[in-house]
Amino acid sequence: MNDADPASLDEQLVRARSGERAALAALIRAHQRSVYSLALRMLGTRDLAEDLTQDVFMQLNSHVKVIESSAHLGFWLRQVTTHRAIDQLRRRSRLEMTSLEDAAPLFSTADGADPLLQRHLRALLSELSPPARAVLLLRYQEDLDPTDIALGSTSPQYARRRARMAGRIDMTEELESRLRAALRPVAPRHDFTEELIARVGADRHSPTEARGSGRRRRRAPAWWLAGLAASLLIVAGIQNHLQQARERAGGLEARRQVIEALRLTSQKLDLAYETIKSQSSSLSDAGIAL
Amino acid sequence: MRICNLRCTLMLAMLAPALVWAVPNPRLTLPEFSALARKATESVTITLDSSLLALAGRFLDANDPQDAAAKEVLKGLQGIYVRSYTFDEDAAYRQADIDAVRNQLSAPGWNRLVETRSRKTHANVDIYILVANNQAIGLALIASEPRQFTIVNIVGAIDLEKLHKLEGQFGIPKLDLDPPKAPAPGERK
Repeated sequence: MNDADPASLDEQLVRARSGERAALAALIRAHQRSVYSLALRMLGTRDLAEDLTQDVFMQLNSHVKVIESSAHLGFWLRQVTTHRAIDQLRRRSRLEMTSLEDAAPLFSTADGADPLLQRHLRALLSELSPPARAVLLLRYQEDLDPTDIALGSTSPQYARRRARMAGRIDMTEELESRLRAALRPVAPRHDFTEELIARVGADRHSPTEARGSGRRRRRAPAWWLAGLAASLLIVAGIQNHLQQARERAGGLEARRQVIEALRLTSQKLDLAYETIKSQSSSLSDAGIAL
Repeated sequence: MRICNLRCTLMLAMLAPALVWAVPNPRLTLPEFSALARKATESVTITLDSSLLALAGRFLDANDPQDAAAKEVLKGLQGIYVRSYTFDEDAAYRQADIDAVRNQLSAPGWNRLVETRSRKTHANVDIYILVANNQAIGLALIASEPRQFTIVNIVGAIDLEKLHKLEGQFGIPKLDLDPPKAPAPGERK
């Protein structure tokens, strides 16, 4: 999965398990090309590949204590990457089809890669089902034999199917070597590695936060609840506002009626007063009558 | 002794409705006047019970002189009911319509405070007040003119002094409600 010395990687893994950030960064640097390339060739776009790579290493961050060796680490990363990519592609297939023709550079352009072969590869990868695509990539990008590919399966039936698929790949040696050359891991953009290490490191140093993609899954209900609470508050606010508006309208109308009633009363009292004044010789007599 | 108690109980039971009857309801039964409302060029129907009066009181501005005066009058009131109709011709309403209300004011407790009849304008104004325990608990005003009649019924502890203070606020004239002063010794009447 990488060209680094296995002994050195084992040492880094031990240090990473003990919580050393630099060791984890070294492991990420050692494996990120492979994980990213696998993700890119499975998913077809750079953004999705970067997201998946980040998710995989976030998950590694939280599972590093169970990784036993550098070989186990490579196996674990391949398994997580392919399974997550297949899951994504299955989810995505229900919504949309992504054409690999329009995707980012999927293949290595080193060593004068054959453009015709690259076109064939694009067509081949776009026609393959996600599991078959994973098998082809594991076979020629990761250079795994059919048995190793089968070991990455989650069930015996699926393992047998993977092994059969890997075994059926029958190409000439020349074509296989050209295929391996074309499927060499491609490097992610320059900034991505450092961003990835920073994000994983930040995640490692905030143990209270959920890690990896699980974080998004666990936070989703919280956001959903927050949205629901906000909606309820808005509805309650609107209802309260309407209630106040109704009460205000009713109050203003009642006030208007009070003023109108008192105005009419005063008008009729005025009428009585004018009548009394015109008929009586003095106001005091009217006062006495009252 | 037992017979006496029984008689007393029976007498009280017979007198109870009469005692209740003795205090008339300050709220008059005002007809709908729906037929008149259709003929009228202008009609005012106001029905404000105690809850609406309380609500109105909250929206009367204490800093506004008119509102402040109205707010003062509203204290202790339980209802204000007004029916007023203006017509564009004479004799558009029947005297019997008004008499139906006036008859309610012949009940014991209601006293006519003011009665004015104008031959010149043919405007008649009657003001009645219902007194219980030396407290005015109801007021009725019936004003009839050739093209207009108005009935006002105010229910509750009416403070005539407060009504008197409304003068100028709603165009109410200053009525001398104060008792006449006794002439000073030696003063010529």
